[in-house]
Amino acid sequence: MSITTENNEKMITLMSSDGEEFVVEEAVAAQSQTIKHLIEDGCSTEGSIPLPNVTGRVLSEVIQYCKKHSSSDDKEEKELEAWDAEFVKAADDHVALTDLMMAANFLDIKGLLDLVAQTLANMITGKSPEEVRRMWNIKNDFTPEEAEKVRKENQWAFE
Amino acid sequence: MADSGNMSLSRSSEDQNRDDSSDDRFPFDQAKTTNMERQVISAARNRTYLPPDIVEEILALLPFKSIERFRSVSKSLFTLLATPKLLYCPRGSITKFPPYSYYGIKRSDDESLFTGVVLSDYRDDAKNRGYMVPEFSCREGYYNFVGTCNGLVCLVFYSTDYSKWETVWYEKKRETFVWNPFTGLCRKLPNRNYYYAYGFGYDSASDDYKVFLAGADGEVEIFSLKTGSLKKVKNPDGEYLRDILTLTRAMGLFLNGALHWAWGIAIIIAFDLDKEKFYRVPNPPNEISPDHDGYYSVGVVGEYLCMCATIRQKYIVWVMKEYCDKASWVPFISYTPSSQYGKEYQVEYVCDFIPRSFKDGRYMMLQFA
Repeated sequence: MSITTENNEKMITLMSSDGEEFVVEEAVAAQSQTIKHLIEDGCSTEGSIPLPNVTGRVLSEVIQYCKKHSSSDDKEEKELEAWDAEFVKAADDHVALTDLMMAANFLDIKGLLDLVAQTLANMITGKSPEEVRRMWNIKNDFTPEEAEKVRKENQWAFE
Repeated sequence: MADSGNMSLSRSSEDQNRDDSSDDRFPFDQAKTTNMERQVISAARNRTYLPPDIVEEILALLPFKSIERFRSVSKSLFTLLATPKLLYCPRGSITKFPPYSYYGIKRSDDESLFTGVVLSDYRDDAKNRGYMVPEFSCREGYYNFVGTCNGLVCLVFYSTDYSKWETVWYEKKRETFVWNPFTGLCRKLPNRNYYYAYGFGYDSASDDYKVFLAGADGEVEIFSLKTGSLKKVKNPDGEYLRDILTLTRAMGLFLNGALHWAWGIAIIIAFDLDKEKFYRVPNPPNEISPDHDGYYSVGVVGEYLCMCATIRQKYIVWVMKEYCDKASWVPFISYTPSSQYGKEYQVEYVCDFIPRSFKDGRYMMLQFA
């Protein structure tokens, strides 16, 4: 569904997987390439745009990011950087960041994707393989012999 | 107001509810969803699983040491980390690489020992950085560049002992290797033959870095960085190969997925790294090379292949604007060096080291033999 506000800004409605609706300016939503293409294909004129794999909680964060980034211009780069840092800090939980990353990936918002990817990368830099397994919930499927062999090959990386 | 007014004719909420109940309008139908979208959808349903594309995206930002360490996390991560993109050129280490850099070889003061490679940024001398090559069993010797590609360097090390200078060419102690100066990663190639012609480049079709090696016995071998193995090319075109083997400067120039050599009078021979076949690149038309007698070499200007010639002490560079289109060759530089010193030299190598966005003119680097 699309409506216009008083200042002639076109609004569109996004619907999260859990049925929550968000009314945002088109310029804000169009930061997502996925949504931009849907709008171009005319999906927004017939009601809300369903986003079946983004929950309301994550979507509200994404919108917060898009709002900030559509209203700032290049001159405010420093301020924007500081805002970005605060933004990922607020979601300073591995699971929350992962959700955000997958939403950014699906919605195709490059700036957000890069920002979250870098945050996640920083979180595991310097960690041991055991810690990475725990954080990313990865099962160690090496046999003890294989594990020993791989570890030996990359011994320098553990020093 | 009028134009957006049309678009904004909002319908009653009942209409909207009715629409929402029908699945037909669901915009992500199966045919349209890409693999990645499907992975993300399944990942969203199962939060404990991170899709490989996303994992790769994150891993590519890690410093090299972390990448090496995380190979022991699990088998799937081990496989993922073995892709050349992550193994050799993680973005985390390559992003600071200046776009138009040149690798120079640094020697110790007495010129006898090779110590490392200098990565130069010609826009700013202060940014030059030296990198040490890994230790080899024999350090008395000299190195030749085969080529550089995406920050990786391929070098040949010829062991020399000056007391046995005349035997250098027959000396068996000689090593070819691919090296990442940023990370220290080094892959030594198997030493199967004595090679005369070399080349190094990236093959996007197989997402692999390849080293081209041609031996005097008429064999062409390709070393794949991905598999770490050397394989013979079946039926290489003998004629082209013979030509290349007669060259003194037999290091192929990488551009457009192929290696290029200048041979004879303005002839360019190329080798496609994907198809593993030789072919001829059309040479500059005769009108712009009326004088056939000269010394020719190939180079890169920006993203274009160029041909450099030293004809009667004059340096001439042509550029091919459209790859393999004979009609697109244009004269680029023609220059007679004023100093006596310059006249004794031939242009060996040309590269463009100033980004094209520089508006106040461009500079060429000519390396002389």
